[in-house]
Amino acid sequence: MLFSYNWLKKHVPDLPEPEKLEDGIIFHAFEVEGLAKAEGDWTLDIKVLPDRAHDCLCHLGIAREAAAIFDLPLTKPIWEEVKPGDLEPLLIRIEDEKACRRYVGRRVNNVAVFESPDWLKKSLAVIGQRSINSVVDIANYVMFDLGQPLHAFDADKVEGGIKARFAKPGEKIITLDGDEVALDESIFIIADDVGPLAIAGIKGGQKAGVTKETKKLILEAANFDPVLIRKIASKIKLKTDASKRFENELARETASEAMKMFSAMLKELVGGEYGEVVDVYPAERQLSPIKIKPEFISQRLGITIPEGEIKKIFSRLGLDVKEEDDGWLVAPPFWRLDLTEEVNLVEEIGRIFGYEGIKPEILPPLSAKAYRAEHFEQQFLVANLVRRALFKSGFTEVYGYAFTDHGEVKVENPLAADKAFLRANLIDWLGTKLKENLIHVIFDDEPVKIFEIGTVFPQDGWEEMRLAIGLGYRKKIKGTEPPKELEMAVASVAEAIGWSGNLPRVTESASADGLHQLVEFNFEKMVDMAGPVSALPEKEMLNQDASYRPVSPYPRIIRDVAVWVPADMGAEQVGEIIIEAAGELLLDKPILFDEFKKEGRKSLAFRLVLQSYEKTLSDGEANKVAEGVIGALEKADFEVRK
Amino acid sequence: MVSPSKKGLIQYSKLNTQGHIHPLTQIINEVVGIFRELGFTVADGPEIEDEYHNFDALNVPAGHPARDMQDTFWLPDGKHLLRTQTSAVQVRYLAEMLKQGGEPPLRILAPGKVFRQEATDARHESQFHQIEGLLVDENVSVAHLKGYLEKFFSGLYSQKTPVRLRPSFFPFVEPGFEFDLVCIKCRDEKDEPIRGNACSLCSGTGWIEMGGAGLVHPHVFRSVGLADKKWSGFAFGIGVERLAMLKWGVEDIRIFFNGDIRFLQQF
Repeated sequence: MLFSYNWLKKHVPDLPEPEKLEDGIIFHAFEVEGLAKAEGDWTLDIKVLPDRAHDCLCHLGIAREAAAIFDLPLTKPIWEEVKPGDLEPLLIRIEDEKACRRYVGRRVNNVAVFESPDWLKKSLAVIGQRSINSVVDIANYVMFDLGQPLHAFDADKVEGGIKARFAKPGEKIITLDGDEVALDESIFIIADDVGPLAIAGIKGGQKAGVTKETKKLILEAANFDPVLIRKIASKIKLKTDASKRFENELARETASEAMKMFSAMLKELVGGEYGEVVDVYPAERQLSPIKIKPEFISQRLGITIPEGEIKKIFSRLGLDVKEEDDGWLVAPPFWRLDLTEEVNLVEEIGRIFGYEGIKPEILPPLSAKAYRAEHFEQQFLVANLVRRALFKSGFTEVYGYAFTDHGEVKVENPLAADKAFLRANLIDWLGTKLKENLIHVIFDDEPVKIFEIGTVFPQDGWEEMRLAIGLGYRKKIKGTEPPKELEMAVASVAEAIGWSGNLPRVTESASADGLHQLVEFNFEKMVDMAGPVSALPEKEMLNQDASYRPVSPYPRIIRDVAVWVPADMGAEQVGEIIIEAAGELLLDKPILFDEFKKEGRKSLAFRLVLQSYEKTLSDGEANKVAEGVIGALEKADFEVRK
Repeated sequence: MVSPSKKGLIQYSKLNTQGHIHPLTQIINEVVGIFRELGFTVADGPEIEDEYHNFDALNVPAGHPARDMQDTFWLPDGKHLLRTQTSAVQVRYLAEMLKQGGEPPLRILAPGKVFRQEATDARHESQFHQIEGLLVDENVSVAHLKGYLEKFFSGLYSQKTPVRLRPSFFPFVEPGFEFDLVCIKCRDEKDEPIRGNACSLCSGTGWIEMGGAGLVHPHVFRSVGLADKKWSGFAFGIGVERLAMLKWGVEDIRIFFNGDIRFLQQF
């Protein structure tokens, strides 16, 4: 939520400079996602999380935090009670006291609704709120100040009294935004004697909406069941600033405070005559004090904080400490609904005191007798053994997606239609990847060898770890049989886990020509077959030399260069010349793909892979690189074979 | 442009016969290797979780806005989901231990795949990996959490790496933190952070945001039936992809799952 620095300063006159305030909030309360200058003001974008959304989605809440963090005084509210005159009584009936915990209402007559004054418009604009009219703006202002959502009805449109009740089947409402919402018995509403006026705690209705013609008002400051509001808002798919506050559970006490401020501001800006405040408050709630020993706080934080300091911090936060024989009784203020047990108080002291001073500590080694569940340890070790065996056979590990477009287990809320299922096997995706990767191999007889260890979801309630291995060739090489490398790889896996029989094969597939082969095993069974394995050092899984650069999205071009060199000459020397001459467009290094000796000389054939990060290379550009390489080789007195 | 990692000036075989271990596997092993020396063992749990293990037992009750903190993929039955956090393993491990008559102390590390129902881009994926750490003992404090995190990151980056805690909220820990590391690059000789560098790792703040942590909330102990007065513990979560992206300068998280060997062969 956006907060205005000037607004916060109304509550804490000695507020530190914006940057200092930001730092204080970050290290003692909340993440600040942005600090920005605004016309004569600053805004802070503070990420208030659900544990504090009940009291800190408002300026008073953040001001209280700032006052506690910097040990500064808060101003007392300046709003005076608006004395009631002799207006017709307002009837309020709460039909469900669990759903509506408090309803404070009041009539106002003879108001004049205009545009808001500039200061009010500006206050709201700074925090990203647009101005509607003076009455609505004041209601919003109070909400962003105290956290209590408010509502005002046009009293001339309200027939009879106010009822807080569940809707009846068939009832509907047109919201202030003009949308029609069908209501039912699960939706809690505010109604008059005839029908719905508002969806309670979420959105007002058009029927009694305040306009510039409005002369009489009924004001509302209420408190609703948070879980109910959340359910309704999600059911009708309507989240508002009000529903967001109610679903986080507001302190019931705030309703009367907010009515006082609402009335006072209205009186000042739109005038009018004010009726009796009607406060229907069936369900008061008292927060329980928390029993705690100050030593407990120091122990959990890992730093000794003097008792006097702890007491001071509690007092800065508005918590009341009562010393008893066997510890302290700490009573939270009415707005801190989140403080219910000892650890909550540990956090309060820790964050205000500051975590910076806590010195790192390490425990003594765990005893050999300590409980350890061996199963997952075993699974982790066996996976590494399998990986090592396949890696040594030239296979590359891939990680696939759990989401796919077909399978047996559906996702209720997928991101896209082609991700609506959970994969039932590994080889479908692995097969696709064989084909995709084969496009990129450099030589026709170069295989793609990949494997994955991952979870599949073959049926509802059935989840299994599998191992899949895939091998693919681009085309059949004359005079050779379909390769046996896959079988050899499988044999090396069996050997790695010490199993002499067949591995538990689940499924396999091969293309008709035998060029693509895929096989999938039940990895969990393999873990059981492996028996106890001795640990493989994790370091063996690491390639310390690895480094990364992005894969170019543009196609590559291949050029071959063959050269005659003296028989005793190393290929590296030629490689150096090629790299130097080819320059930036050469991907990796020259690949030596043919070498033979003849008549005291040696022929070396290199394949160059050329690729740009900026564009698709033309044949001409590739030729230019190849010509440059040939030129450099000839200049070095090598005979280039053409 | 020659990849600096590969030794020599030419590739000797026309066939690329070298296999490669996935970079995320490498990171997970690196992390496990360091924590193993600190007495931690590996644990895991299912990827399809039930509401109880993923939420209720972790102090995220139904109807509470904390449920919105993690966008969740649900299965059609409305009771099962794709786990949003490896923290669910905490509950399973503790319950299993009690069933077998065991009790703390314990130290586990749970690497695993987790899921979030959010639009994907270079920084966000609907699936990614976390490593959850859990230590339960007597009188565990924030000082211990700090100690183990510093020890781990100092091992990972082979240099003293101070950790900073900022208050935050995760329902299953209290107090809860986000933790940052002193930037691997922007630091002085005393390992204090240096601000203001044009650094892709820390954006010039001198600190790298790394993960969430805290002391185990007593609710977690109570929900498995472990005495919440006797035992205390800490838990933390680290993003595996985040570590890999920092380590190798990978700029798009999606590349880890595209199965492209031109990417994977670099590791």
